Amino acid sequence: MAESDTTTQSRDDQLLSGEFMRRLDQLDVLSRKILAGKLHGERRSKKKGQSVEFADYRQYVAGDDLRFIDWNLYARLDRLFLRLFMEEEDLSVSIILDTTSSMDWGEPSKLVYGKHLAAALGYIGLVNYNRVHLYSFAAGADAQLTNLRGRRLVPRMLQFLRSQSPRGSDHLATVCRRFAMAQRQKGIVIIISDFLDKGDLADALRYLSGSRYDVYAVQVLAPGEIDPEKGNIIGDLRLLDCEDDDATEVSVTAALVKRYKANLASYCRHVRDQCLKRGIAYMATDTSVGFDTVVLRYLRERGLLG
Amino acid sequence: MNFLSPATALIAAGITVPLLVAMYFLKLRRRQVVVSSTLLWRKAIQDLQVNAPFQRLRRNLLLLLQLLVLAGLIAALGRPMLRGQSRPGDRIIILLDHSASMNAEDVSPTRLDEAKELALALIDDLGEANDTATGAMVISFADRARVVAPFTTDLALLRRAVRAIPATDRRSSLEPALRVIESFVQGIADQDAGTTVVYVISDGRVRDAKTPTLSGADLRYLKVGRDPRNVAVVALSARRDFAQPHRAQVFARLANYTPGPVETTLTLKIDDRVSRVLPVTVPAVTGTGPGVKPLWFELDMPSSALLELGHDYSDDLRADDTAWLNVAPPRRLRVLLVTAGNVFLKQAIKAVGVRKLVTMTPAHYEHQHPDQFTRRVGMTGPDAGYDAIVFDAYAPVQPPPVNSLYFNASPPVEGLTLVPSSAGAAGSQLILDWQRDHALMRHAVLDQLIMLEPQRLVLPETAQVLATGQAGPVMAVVTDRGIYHVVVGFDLLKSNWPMLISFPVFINNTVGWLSLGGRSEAAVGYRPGQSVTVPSGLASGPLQYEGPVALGTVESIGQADGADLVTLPIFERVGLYRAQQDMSPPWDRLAVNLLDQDESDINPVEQIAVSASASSQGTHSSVTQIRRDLWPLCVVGALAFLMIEWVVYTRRMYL
Repeated sequence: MAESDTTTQSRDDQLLSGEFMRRLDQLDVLSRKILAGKLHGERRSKKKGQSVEFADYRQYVAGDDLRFIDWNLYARLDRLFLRLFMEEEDLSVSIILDTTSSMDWGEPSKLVYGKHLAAALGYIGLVNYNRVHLYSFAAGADAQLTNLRGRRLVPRMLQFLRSQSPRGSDHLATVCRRFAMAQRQKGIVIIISDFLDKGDLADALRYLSGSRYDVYAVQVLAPGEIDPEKGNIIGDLRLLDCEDDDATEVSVTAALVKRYKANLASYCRHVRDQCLKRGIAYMATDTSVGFDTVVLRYLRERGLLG
Repeated sequence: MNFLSPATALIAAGITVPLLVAMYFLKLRRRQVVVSSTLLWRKAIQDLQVNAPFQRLRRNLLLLLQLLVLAGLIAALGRPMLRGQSRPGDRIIILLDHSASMNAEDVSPTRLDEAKELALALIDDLGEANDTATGAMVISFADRARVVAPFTTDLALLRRAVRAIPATDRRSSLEPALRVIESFVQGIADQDAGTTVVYVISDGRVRDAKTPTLSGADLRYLKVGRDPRNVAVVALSARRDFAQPHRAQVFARLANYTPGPVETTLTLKIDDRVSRVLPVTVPAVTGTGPGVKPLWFELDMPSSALLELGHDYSDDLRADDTAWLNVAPPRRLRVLLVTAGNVFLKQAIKAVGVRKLVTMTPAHYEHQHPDQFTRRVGMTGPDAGYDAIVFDAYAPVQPPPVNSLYFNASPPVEGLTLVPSSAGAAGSQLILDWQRDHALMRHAVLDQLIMLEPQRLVLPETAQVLATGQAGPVMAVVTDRGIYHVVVGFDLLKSNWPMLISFPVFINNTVGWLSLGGRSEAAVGYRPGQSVTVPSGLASGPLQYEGPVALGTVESIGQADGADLVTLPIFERVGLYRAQQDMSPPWDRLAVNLLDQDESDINPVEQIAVSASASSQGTHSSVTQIRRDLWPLCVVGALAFLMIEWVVYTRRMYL
C-alpha cells in the first residue's frame, strides 16, 4: 500500500537512534578489493606511505628523504637503507538509494527501510573516515551528496536522506549508467532497491561490473509483495502499477497467487544470478526484518561490514 | 420425460438465458489496488493461462453453474413429468374410491387426497398425449358409483370433477362402478375403437359379495395407503329389559387391526355426561381377523338417552373411534291382528310379549277410522292406537298409518303387487335365498320352509327383498311415506312355516322392528348411506340438523305428500346430528355410525381380484406406477446448484 508523505516523514525522522549508532561505531566498511583512495585515511593502501606500520626496506638512492634512513642498520651493516611504512588511504563508499514510486509501498514502506539501511551504512563510512557518496535516483530527478568524510557530517547525511521522497519511475539501466558516469572513483558501491524493473537487469548491472567498484546489491521487498494475501491482494482486482500507471485486471485466486510466488522466487533468483555473474554481492531482505538485524548480522555475514 | 408447459419454459428461457449471459459478460466492477509493480502479476496470468488447459472452463465455472440454476428453474416452469404407461389413443376411466377407509390418515393428509393427486396426474398424462381422440371419464365409488365427469377431453372439467369428489363414510364396493362402465367399455371394444384403460384408485378394501367382472378393458389398480393403525368400535347396540324396561343393556365390540395388542381407555357417556371410564386391552390382529374385545354394560335409563362410546387410542381412521346411540324411551307394545282366524299367528304374536294384542276381522277393521290406529303414548290419558298391525290374508283398502306386516296380501302401495304363480310353476316351492344379515331375518333359518303356491312380489325400487323363492321375491320390506310394510307372499296355512322355529323368531323380529319404527333395537343408530324420514310436526320452518363441524350441515329436503314427514338427505359422514328445531326424542338427535368391521380394516391390499370374461384381453389387476410431477425435483436441483455456485463464488479465491 502506498504510504503518504506525512507518514514517510514521520517514519524517517529517527533514521538512527543513539543506541544503534553506538553499536555501529564498532563496525567498519570492508572491501573485498584494495582500492586506491584520494586522501590519507585509515585504510591500508597498496602504496607505501607515511604511517606507523612498518612495511619494508629498500636501498637508499639519492634524493630520498633522510628522515626515513634506518641509522641502526647503517651502524651494523655500513650501508644505507630506507625504512618504508604502509600507506593508509581513505575508502570511497557510494550508496545508491532507489527512490522511485515502487519503493513507496508496503508497511513500513520499502523507501523508509532503505533510508534506514543507507543511514546506517553512511554512518559507518563517516565514522571510519571514508568518503561517503549518497545518490538517489528517480525519474530524472537525481540527487546526490558526495565527498562526506568524518563524523561531523552525519547530520548532513541524515538530512539528505530525510529529504528524499518517492517520485516517478526510472529504469535501473539508466540509473546505473548515470552513476557510472558521475562516480569515476574506485570504491564500494551499495545499491538499495527492490529491483522490480521492467527493463533489462543485465544491461543495468553491466555498468557496475569491472574492477573499479566493489558492488553490493541489497534487494528490499515488502511482505505484501512476497505474500499477496498479507497485502490484501485477493479477489477481483484492478491492479495499478504505481510507477507507470499500468493497469492489470486480475481475479486473484489461490492458483494465481501460487504462480505469482513462483514467479517472484524465480525473479529473485534471476537478480542474484545476474549479480553473482558480475561479481556483485547480493542480499535480499524484506521490511518485516528489522534493519538493525540486516546491518548488524546479514551485512557482516556477507563481508560488507566488519 | 415430457413437459406440460413447454411454451412457458421456452419463453422464460428466451428472456433469462441471454440476460444472464449478457450480465455475465458485463464488465465486472473491480476493486482498484495500487501495487509496486505489475511485472510479476502479468507474468503470472500469462503463465496460468498457458499452463492450465481448462483455464477457460474454470473461468466460466460460475457462468456454467448459474446456467444450471436457470435451467433447473426453467425446467420446473415447463412442468416436467415422468413418462407413464398410457399411450396415445388410450381411453381412460378413473374409478376413485371415496369410501370410509379412504379417510385414513396414514398418508398425508388423507388417502382420498392422495388418490385425487394420482387421478390428477393421470389426467395430466392425458394432456401430455395431446391427442383429441384421447379422453377420460371419472367415477367415484363407495357403496354406490357416480359419474362425476362423463367421457370428455376437457381436462379442466376432469380436474374440477376430481377435486370436487367429497369424502364419505360409506362402505366400499367395486361392483357398482364396474357395472356403470361395463356398457361403455363393451361398446368401445365392439367398435374396435382403441384400448380402454380403467384405473382403480383405491386402498383395495372393497367388499363385494362375489368377484366383480370386467371385459374389454385393461384394468390397473393404483394402491393408496401404507401401514395404518386402527382400533375401531365395530358394534354398539342397546336393548331394554322386557321385565324391567327402565334398564337397558348396552353391547359393544372393539376391534384391533394392529399387529400388537392395544391398551386404550374407553369412555361411555350418557347425554354428554361421562358414565363409565375403563381401561381395556384389545388383543392383536390374528390370521383370521382383527383382535376383538367384547364389552357389556347394564345401565339404568328410564327415559330416552344418548349413548356415546369412544376410545382414546390415536389411530389413522377417526370415523370409527366413537359411536353414538339414541336410546328410545321404554314403551309397552300394542299390536292389532286383522285376520279371519289364525291361531298360529295369534300365538306367535303373544309369544313376543306384547302388552296388548287386539284381534279384528277385516270387515271390522275397515269400519275403524284410521286415526284410531295411530299410536299415542298417553301422558294425560290411557295409551291408544297400535305399534304394529298384522294383516293375515287381507289387504286393507287404504294403507294403514302404522307399520304393518302382511301375510299373503299386500298394501295398496304404488309399485307393489302380488302376482300369482304361473300355471307351469311347481306347486310347492323352497326359499332359495334370504338376507341373513337383515334385522328381520336374524336367527331365522328358512332352508326347511316349504310353500304351497306362493305368490311372487312385484316391488317398487325402494323395496328391500328379504327372501327369494323359485318364482321370485316372496318376502320384502316396502317403505311408503315413512311407513314400513313387511310383505310375505304366501299363505301361512299353506306352508310348514308355523311348525318351524324360524316362524316365531321372524314374528319376534318383525313385531319388535315395526314397533320401533323400522328398528330392531331399543336404540336408534344409522349408517352412512342411509336416509331417514322424520316427523316434522313440531318444527316450524325448514327442518335442519347440524352435525359436527367436520361433517357439515344436514338440510331438510322436500315433504311427503300430505304427511308431516320429511326425508333427510342421505348421511355421508358419521357423527351426531342435532336438530336445530324443537323435536321430540328420538328425532332430536340422529346418530350415524360406521360400525363396520370390514370397513374399519384399512390395511391396503396389493391386488384386487377382478375376473375377466373369456373374450377380454389384458384385463387384469396390477400395481402400476404412473407419471409424477418432476418440477419439485427441478427446483431442489436449482437450489443445490445455487448453493454450489455460492460456495464456488465465495471460495474461488482459495480453491
